Amino acid sequence: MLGTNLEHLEQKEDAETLVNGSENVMISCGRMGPMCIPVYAAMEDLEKEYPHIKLVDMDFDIPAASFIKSLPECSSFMGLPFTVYFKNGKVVEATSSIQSKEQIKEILDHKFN
Amino acid sequence: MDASTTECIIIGAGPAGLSAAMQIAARGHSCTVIEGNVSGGHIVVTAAIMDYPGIETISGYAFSAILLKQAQSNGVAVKTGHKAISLIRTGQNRYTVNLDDGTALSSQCVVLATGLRSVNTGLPEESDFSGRGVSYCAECDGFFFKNKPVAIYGKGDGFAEAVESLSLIGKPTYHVYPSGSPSADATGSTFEGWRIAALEGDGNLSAIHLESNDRKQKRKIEVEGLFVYMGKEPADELLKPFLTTDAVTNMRPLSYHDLARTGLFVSGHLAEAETLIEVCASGVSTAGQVSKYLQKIEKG
Ligand SMILES: Cc1cc2nc3c(=O)[nH]c(=O)nc-3n(C[C@H](O)[C@H](O)[C@H](O)COP(=O)(O)OP(=O)(O)OC[C@H]3O[C@@H](n4cnc5c(N)ncnc54)[C@H](O)[C@@H]3O)c2cc1C
Repeated sequence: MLGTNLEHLEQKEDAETLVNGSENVMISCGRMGPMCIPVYAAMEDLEKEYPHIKLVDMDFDIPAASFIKSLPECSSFMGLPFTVYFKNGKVVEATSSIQSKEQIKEILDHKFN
Repeated sequence: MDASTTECIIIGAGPAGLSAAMQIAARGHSCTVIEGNVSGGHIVVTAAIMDYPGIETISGYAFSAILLKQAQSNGVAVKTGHKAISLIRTGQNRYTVNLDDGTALSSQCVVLATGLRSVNTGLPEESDFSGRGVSYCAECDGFFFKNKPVAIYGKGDGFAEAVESLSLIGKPTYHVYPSGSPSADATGSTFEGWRIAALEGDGNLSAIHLESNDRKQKRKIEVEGLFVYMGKEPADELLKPFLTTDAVTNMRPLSYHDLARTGLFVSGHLAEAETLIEVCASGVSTAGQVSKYLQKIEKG
């Protein structure tokens, strides 16, 4: 389990239920490293501002992470974390490696407004 | 333009800025912290802080969350995701800070706690390849490049550690040092005095274009990974204009002490504190100076 204050996804079934049962979901899948932590910190900051979006994390090294790793949108990614944005169960954006709060906000505003 | 007022604006929510903020607010002054990214500054990514007196071990992430909570519970307003793009002294005891969202804040004094900034390659295409070949952390992303050609670009301790960890992973591994006079070793894997002039790839990185510092030689190297370690530099762009001529008195300040007399305080790493305990202490000490300054101008 990642040491963040975000909600953690630990089972593949939970990820599927969340993505298919919610309109707007952002999942960041990584480790507690210097490229991942700033993304989680930005998500924690943004949770209150975007109550209509579920912002959750997932440990890259657990079996359930195959839910994210096996997505075609992530197949060419070469940097942690893999961050995927779902709208009504469909991937609308995916990013690899560190992102600033501003970059994340831009995606949330454009894809989920 | 929206301009709101507070007694003190702190630019930078790293450990120095947040330590200063919580103490300024505890002394009864209104205080707003402006942060360009997320709160916590550089310590946020540290896995374990082991050298802070009285704390056995704590992650930088948890430490930063506590600092933020302490500042906010003292009544500090923390505005994250807003970069201060300019700082103007508009009169005696009056500063205006312009933010990147087009808003402005004004205050009687300002604390600059902007710390350090990572240096990148300066190439416009660098961000396009971030996570698609370009990485800043060999330990985090090295495993994506097992048996693939990679280059390491830069200098310093981070560079040396990356060279060591990637020597076991990448095949082959190229080392590119941007400083010094141009040379390339016999095997063609070490380039000293060369810089990266361009990145190439269709989606993911496939090659880097090198140029020697004397601009006489050029080389294209096919790589799938580029690890960038260009070090850090002071984030002092807001401070620099004040080290020339003061807009109100038309005088040149001699030191940070002179600046403090005009209500501009420099704290933390920017004021040459280095370790976490030093930057926190610097923030607390700045808070004392700010409080005295505000009391003095209140008395007139
Ligand atoms: C990887 C790493 C590990 C470390 N580990 C340790 C350790 O174990 N122990 C230890 O004692 N020290 C450690 N340090 C050093 C410690 O992190 C620094 O001393 C400390 O973070 C400096 O604090 P600061 O507040 O002065 O600056 P910073 O931490 O650099 O914070 C400055 C803040 O200002 C913001 N900012 C900059 N410009 C603007 C602007 N124009 N507008 C708005 N915001 C702006 C930045 O986004 C940043 O959040 C480590 C440093 C690094 C990089």
